[in-house]
Amino acid sequence: MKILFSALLVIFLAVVVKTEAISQYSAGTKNEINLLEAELKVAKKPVIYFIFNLKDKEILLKSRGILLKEMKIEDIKFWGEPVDAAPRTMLKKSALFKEPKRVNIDPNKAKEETSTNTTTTPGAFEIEALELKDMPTTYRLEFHEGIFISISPKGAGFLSRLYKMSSYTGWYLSRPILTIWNSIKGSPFTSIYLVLSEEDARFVYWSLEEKSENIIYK
Amino acid sequence: MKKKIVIVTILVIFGVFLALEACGIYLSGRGNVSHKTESIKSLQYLNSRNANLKKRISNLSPKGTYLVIDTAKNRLYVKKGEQTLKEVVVSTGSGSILNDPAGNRQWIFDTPRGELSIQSKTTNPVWTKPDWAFIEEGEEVPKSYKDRMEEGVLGDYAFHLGDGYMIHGTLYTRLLGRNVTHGCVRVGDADLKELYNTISIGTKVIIF
Repeated sequence: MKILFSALLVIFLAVVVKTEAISQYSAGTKNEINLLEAELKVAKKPVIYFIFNLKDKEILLKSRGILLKEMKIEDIKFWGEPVDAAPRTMLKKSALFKEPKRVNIDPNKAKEETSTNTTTTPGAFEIEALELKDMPTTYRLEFHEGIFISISPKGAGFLSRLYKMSSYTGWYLSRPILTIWNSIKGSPFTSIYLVLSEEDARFVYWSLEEKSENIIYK
Repeated sequence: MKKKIVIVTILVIFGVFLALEACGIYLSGRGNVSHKTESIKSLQYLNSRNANLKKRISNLSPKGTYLVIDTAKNRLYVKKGEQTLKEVVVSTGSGSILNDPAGNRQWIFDTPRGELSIQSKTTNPVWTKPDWAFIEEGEEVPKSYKDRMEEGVLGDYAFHLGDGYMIHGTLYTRLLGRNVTHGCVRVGDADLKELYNTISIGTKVIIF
C-alpha cells in the first residue's frame, strides 16, 4: 500500500513538474514569436531599427534582420504597464543637460574668407560638425503609447555614484505619482530606466532617429 | 514634545510614500502574467511558427556581398553574410545646416540612414554642383547647367546611391575618419579603386 501510494505521489509530482515546465517553455516561445512577428514587420522596410531587449539585457541595432551592433544594458528599472513586442514609433529624444546643436553654415563668412584670402594652417583646422563625442549620455526617449526610456551612463567615482543614488531616489518617488496622474488622465504610462556604457549611450542617441520604428521586448 | 512631532511627521511622510507606491504598483498592473497549460501539439506548432518566422526574417537579408557604413565611427565595411571582408576609413555627413538667404530652402547635411543600393558607378566622375554648393560659398547660383560642372573633386570613381548621394573619392584625405561631408561618403583613393573593382551595381548599402 505504501509503495503504491509513493508511486502515485511520484507520478503526480512528475506530471505537475512537466506541466509547469511546458507552460513556462510555451510562454517563453510565445513571447519570442511576438518579438519575431514585430521584427518581421519592421525588417520588411529599408530602415534601421533598434530592439531594446530588456529580457536579455541588450540593445540590438539591426536592418533587414542583420545585426549591425550589439550593446549591453548594465542596469534596468521598469515601471508601469507591461510592454508587448510591437513596432513602436520613437516620437522625441531630449537630452537632460545639453542638447547637441547642429552647426549653421554662414554663407557670408565663407564669402569674407574668400575675399580676404584667409589661409588656415593644417594644425589649426577645426571641424564644425556634429560628431559622436558631441552626443549626450543622459537623455529621455519618448515612444508612442506613453512609453518613456531614460538612458544614463555607467560611471565610476563619487560624483557618479551620488548622481546614480539621487536619480534612483527620484525615480522611485516620481513613478507612482506619474502612474496615478496618468491613470486619472486615462493615458498609458510605462517608464524604463536603462544604464549603458558612455559610448553606447552616445551611440544610441546618434543612431536612433525620431519617427523611426523600434521594438521594446520584455 | 518637538521630538514627538518630528517622529510623527516622518512616519506620516513614510506612510504617504508607501501608499503612493502601493497605488502606483496596483495601477501599473505589475504581475499580470497568466500561464495557460499547453499541450505538446500546440508546443510543436509554436516551435514550427518560431522557426518559420526566423527563416522569413533571414530571407530579408542581402544575398552576396553588401556594404555597411557606420556614420558614428566613419567606417565602411564590405560584408558577406556575417563575415567582414574589408574595413575602410571614410568621411560621412557633418550634420550642419544651411539656410538659403533668398528663400525658404534649408539643407541638412546628414548621410541618409537605412538601406540604399548602388544604382550606378562611374569612372572620372564630374560633379554637377547643386544649388547649396554655391549658396554655401556665398556665390550666385548659375543659370547655365555647364557652369555647375566641376571635374576632379570626386576622385577617380563614384558610386551613385540616389537622390544625389554618392560614395566617391576625396582631395581631403586628412579628413578621412571625420564627419565633414555634405551627406556623401568619401573614400581614400586606393580603397575606392578596390571597391570599384569588387562592388557591382545593385549591391545593398546599409547606413547607420
